[in-house]
Amino acid sequence: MKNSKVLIFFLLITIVGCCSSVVSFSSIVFAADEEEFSELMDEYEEKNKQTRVADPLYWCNYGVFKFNDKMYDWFIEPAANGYKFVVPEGIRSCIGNFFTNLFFPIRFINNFLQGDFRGAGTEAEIFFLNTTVGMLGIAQVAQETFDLQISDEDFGQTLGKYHVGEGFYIVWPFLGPSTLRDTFGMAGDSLFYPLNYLDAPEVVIGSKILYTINSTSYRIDDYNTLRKGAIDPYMALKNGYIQQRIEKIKK
Amino acid sequence: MIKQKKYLLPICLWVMIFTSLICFAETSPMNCVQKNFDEIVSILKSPLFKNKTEKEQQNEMYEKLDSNFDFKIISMLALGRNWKRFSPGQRDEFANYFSKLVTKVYLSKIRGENLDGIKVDYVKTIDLKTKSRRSDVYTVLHNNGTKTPVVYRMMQTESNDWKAYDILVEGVSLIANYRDTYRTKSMIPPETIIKELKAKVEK
Repeated sequence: MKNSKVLIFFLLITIVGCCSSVVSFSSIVFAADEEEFSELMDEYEEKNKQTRVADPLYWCNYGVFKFNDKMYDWFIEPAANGYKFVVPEGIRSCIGNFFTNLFFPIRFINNFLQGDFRGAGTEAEIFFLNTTVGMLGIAQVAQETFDLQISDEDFGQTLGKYHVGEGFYIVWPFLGPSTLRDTFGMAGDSLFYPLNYLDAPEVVIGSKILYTINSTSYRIDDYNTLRKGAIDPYMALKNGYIQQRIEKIKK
Repeated sequence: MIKQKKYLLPICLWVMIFTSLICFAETSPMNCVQKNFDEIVSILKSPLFKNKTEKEQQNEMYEKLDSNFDFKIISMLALGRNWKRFSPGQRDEFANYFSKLVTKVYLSKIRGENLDGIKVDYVKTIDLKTKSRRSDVYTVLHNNGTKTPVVYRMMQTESNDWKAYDILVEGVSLIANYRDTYRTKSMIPPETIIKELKAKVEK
């Protein structure tokens, strides 16, 4: 009788012990889960904080966004589609390379301003090689044969490097998303764009249209994808722009 | 009999070591990304898939993507602080529609592409020093004349395989992008958020 009581007592203890260990084990697993995700949650919360840019001109910006949206549907996309159909990839790529070469002064000066002298030197090398051997930049000899890489810097990024904040969000007609800082950046860069010094406004405007249509021909679907996937395309475009700028400034 | 067993042992050992090596090779996050991408391309290229209706194609791609992405964590990260307001049922419902939206967008994007002109460079893997096992796999997508850097953010699951919880295209995090939109919806009831998402999927 006594023996069986002792036995039952031990049995009870083991059962309780087992239960509590199961409970504590599962709570450890649960806690680890929560902790693991809270770490991830914090990481993304931080990411979101960094990309928060004020939008005091919301109504105006939204109007321009809608305008650009319609412009894309009515003119830019059909033009890019037609252009892509008519102009073979080889020629489109040459045109793209030609423009990339023309943007050299902007990249050079901004690499220099950011203290990246090596980058500026590489830019000069690429410009020299592509303008001569690459026939005014239509062939990217420096990138393909000598494996040199351009570093796509602009004045907005330079200001960002020196901790100038974005200011606030601005949507420009035709040019799309920007910020106060990047607008100053664009204005600064336009001083170093050679075609702006041509005395023929029709050539300047024509070249801008060609550049836009040519680069859009490579990414016709991108804007449609954004619109299809986004819950709020205005917000998605704004956030995408800000994220991309932050990433570029980091580089 | 005994002799036979002695003879078998090295073979068994050898097979065991070999298979464990295969498994090890398979579970690296980069191999995982590569394997999944190749599988998706071969599905898209197969004549069987091409003959299917749009709905059937979506379902097949949905199943494939659902096994490669952790949509539960994706939904949690996308919803941000709103996640706490969602009941378990609503969370599942949201994750379900969210994965359908991703599938739909992905399929519509890739359908128009010339698959033979697509090539992926697998650049590097960075293992993150976090509590859960996470790695970022850096790739460059060459698509008919354009180059796009794409980063797959991978997390190891309990069954030791890897699932993606975010994709960064040219430095833009897809999940952070949705999170930014949902941040402004903190006053909107979960049912409305789900309804809105569902409408987007069915549009």
